[in-house]
Amino acid sequence: MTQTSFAADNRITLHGTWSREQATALQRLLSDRLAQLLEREPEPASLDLSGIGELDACGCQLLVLFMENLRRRGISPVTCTLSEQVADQVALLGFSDAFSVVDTPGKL
Amino acid sequence: MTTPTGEPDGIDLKRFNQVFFEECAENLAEMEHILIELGEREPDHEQLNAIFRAAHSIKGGAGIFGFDDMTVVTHVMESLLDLLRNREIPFAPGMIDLFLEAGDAISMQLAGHKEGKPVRQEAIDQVVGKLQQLNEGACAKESCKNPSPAPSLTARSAAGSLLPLRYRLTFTPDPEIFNRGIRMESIISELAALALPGEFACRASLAEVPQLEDFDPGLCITRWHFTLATAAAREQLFEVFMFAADEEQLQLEELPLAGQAELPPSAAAPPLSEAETASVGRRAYDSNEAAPGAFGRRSVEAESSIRVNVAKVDQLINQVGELLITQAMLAQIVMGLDPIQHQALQRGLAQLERNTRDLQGSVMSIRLVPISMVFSRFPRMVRELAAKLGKQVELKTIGESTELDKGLIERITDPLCHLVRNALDHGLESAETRVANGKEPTGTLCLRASQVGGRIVIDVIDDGAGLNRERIVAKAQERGIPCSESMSDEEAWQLIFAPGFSTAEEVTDLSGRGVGMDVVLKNVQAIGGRVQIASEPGEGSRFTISLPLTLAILEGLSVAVGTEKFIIPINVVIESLQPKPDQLKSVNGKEVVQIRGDYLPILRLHRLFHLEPEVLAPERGILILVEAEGERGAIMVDALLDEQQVVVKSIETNYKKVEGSAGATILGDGRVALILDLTELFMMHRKS
Amino acid sequence: MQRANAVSGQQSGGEGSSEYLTFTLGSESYGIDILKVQEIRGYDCVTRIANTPPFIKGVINLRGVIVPIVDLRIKFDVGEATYHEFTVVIIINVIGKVVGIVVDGVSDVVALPAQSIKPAPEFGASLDTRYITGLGTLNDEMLILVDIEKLIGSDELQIVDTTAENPLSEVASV
Repeated sequence: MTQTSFAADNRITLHGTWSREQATALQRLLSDRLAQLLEREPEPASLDLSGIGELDACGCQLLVLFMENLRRRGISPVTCTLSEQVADQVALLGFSDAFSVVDTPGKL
Repeated sequence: MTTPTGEPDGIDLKRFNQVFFEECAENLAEMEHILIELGEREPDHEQLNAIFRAAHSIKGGAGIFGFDDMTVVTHVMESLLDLLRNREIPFAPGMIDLFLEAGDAISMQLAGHKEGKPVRQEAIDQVVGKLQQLNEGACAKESCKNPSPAPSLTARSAAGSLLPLRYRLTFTPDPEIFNRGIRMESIISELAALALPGEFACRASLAEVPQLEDFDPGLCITRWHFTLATAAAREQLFEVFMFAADEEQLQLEELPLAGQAELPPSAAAPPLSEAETASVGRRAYDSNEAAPGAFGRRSVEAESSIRVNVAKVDQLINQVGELLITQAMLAQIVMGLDPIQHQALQRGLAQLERNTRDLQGSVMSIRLVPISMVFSRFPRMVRELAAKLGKQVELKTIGESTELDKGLIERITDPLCHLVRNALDHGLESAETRVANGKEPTGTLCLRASQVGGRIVIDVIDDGAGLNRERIVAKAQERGIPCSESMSDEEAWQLIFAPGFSTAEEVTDLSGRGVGMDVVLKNVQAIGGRVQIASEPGEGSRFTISLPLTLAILEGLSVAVGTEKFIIPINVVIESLQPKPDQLKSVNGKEVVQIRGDYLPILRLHRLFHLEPEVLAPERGILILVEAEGERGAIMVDALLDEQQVVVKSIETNYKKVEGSAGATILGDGRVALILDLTELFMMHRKS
Repeated sequence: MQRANAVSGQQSGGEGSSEYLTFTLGSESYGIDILKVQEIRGYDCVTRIANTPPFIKGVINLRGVIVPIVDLRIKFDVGEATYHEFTVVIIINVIGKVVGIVVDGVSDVVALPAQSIKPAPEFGASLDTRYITGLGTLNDEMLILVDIEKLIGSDELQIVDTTAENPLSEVASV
């Protein structure tokens, strides 16, 4: 069950499981968020993904597409927080550079 | 480490020589196989790489063992192959023949080192010269990539046969891949597992960037790029994607030099892995130089077979043979016991017999090798022979996986070669003749092997002109070989096997060594085989060789004469019967038996072996009708005992050859029984 | 082929002596180099071979190997060639062959110092002098020392054959 929370700012926080099954819901969610962000002034956004439990290639791809869409519309996310587990997953899938991972909180 | 004189110090490498010789032979065979299959076509990247790898392995091994002559040839070959696969030089059809020649040169050098056979240096120099010319031609044209330095005495490349290579693999998946449930994570993990530690990199990138809101999220628009160093074969790499991708979605590229391997530029290019930067200037394959087992062995590839010394296998076979005999002895003892009292014992022994036979079967199968080992030489031979004769011939082989005893392989090669040469020389017609007769210009030569009831059957079939009966009979008459106009076709064909039929004048240099068909037949019979001929004028001929499955074990009929027992090999037995008095006749003072209109001479075993028989009158004994080398007869014995498998034992080892016998065996009662040699028996009979 | 010497010898009598297995043929005593003796068996289960001279009794199965049996008593016409439970067959291993010789009886293994061996006589022995390496003395008895290798390999015994090979002979030799 995906839960998301938005704040009225440029933070995008995502939780839950992001895989193929949830893809459609995710896409809609991200599209909405994108639209919202576009209405605001272009400023760097931050992507808080530490709440994500599971991420598969499909979900990953979606996120990357989202970020790329942001970029092309002038909003470049600078910070990307991932849990260690998800960071590993992202690395395995080969998307590490796309995420420009900066922070991995809670690293033991 | 090597000393300046090129002698490896410390380690005695001689005992590894054998492995190198064998692997070198395999690599040469592999090279030849690919080249022959190509015909005149240009090899694709994969094939070039395979040939390159084969040459490279040989070079590496030759380097270790100090066979500088081979290193020189393979090096020059390798350079040319490298230029070809990097497309720095265009392919020319003549290159196939040149590579084949180079392979021959290396073979010759190998034989020189292995067996001390003489080497024709001019031929080798010639090949090297030609290869060199092509290499230089390419370098003159464009700035060629710096080829690896010629081998020096002090720096040997110690490449094993399957060293790691560096690849770039690009995967452009089908967009439906996520919907199909394919998990990229598993695929990537699997691929990473095949790579050497620390030598795997994966990068994903979007193939396109559609508007997020318009995008169907289930589709895959990601492309993956991998760089890895692995000792795994290409096929293994492709296997990882077996269910996920078609070959078109995969692009595999070999990266030649370490240090050049880098992922396509991306926004945040990951740093080159350490291994890539560390070995600049050395060829990537040499990275395993220090690995254990680097002496030319396939140390990294998973092995599904092991090399075993033939002597060990033979010993194993002997021991199993002994086991059989012991088990038979036990069986004989138990036979005399009261079955009710000793039921368990008898059952146990029956079980033992089954176990022993299974064991024997398994062990015998170790000596079995596929006949493809013999057939493999023919594509080349047919190709060259057909070219020399100016004929168009297509060679087909069927049943290459049919297995036969290793000992037989060596003995059947020569006869088969003769039959193939014969078919090409005399059987198949020239293209013009064929067309004139309404045939396809390209003739077909088919080699077919199969196992039929405990025997191996090999056919050599051609769709040529067939045997000319009149010419054969006429020639036989000319040479004084007994024949008649009224003989059947089958009998007429057998005339070509008669000694003296083909003379030296007819044997062209193509049919080699001045031997005739009679030697072919003799060689086949020496291994317990037979040759049959079928032919249709204008349509073609078929020569069929039938062989026993193995030499060491014989299927035979045990018979008794007086107190002695003999074994008659099954392959000569036609039938056995107890004759009726009216079938017994006398022709020219010799006893014969009349069977279905034929008169067969009766050979009294007791007379030939000076024994006291139980039975003197044929009608109270048993006649075993036999046929060997075209001669037929009836062997008279007291009794027919059993049909059994026997282990062939040598008498000659400690004694000498006994006339009339072809070896001996040890029966269940521990006694020795002679195995009869029919041809000699017939001779002994004639002399008596 | 078993090379293990199944017959253990006595302690050698010092330097320059060799050990001999002694056996009897008729009334005479013979000795052969112990190193050439593989084992000693009884006479049993001999398969006759056709067209062989009478002194070649046939062949036996020696643990899976076919071994010819020669009766020296018949060959050299000494004593009586009888076969019973005490008949002895000495299995010899020379010139790459394993051969059995039938003798009347086997005695001890003795060590004879080299100096005590006298040259072979010119005549008088049942055995042709070319097969005699010398004469030894044992307990006041004369011991005829046999060159068993020469004897086995001789044309006389007709065991060694130099004529055509049998293609099947390569197979299954232990």
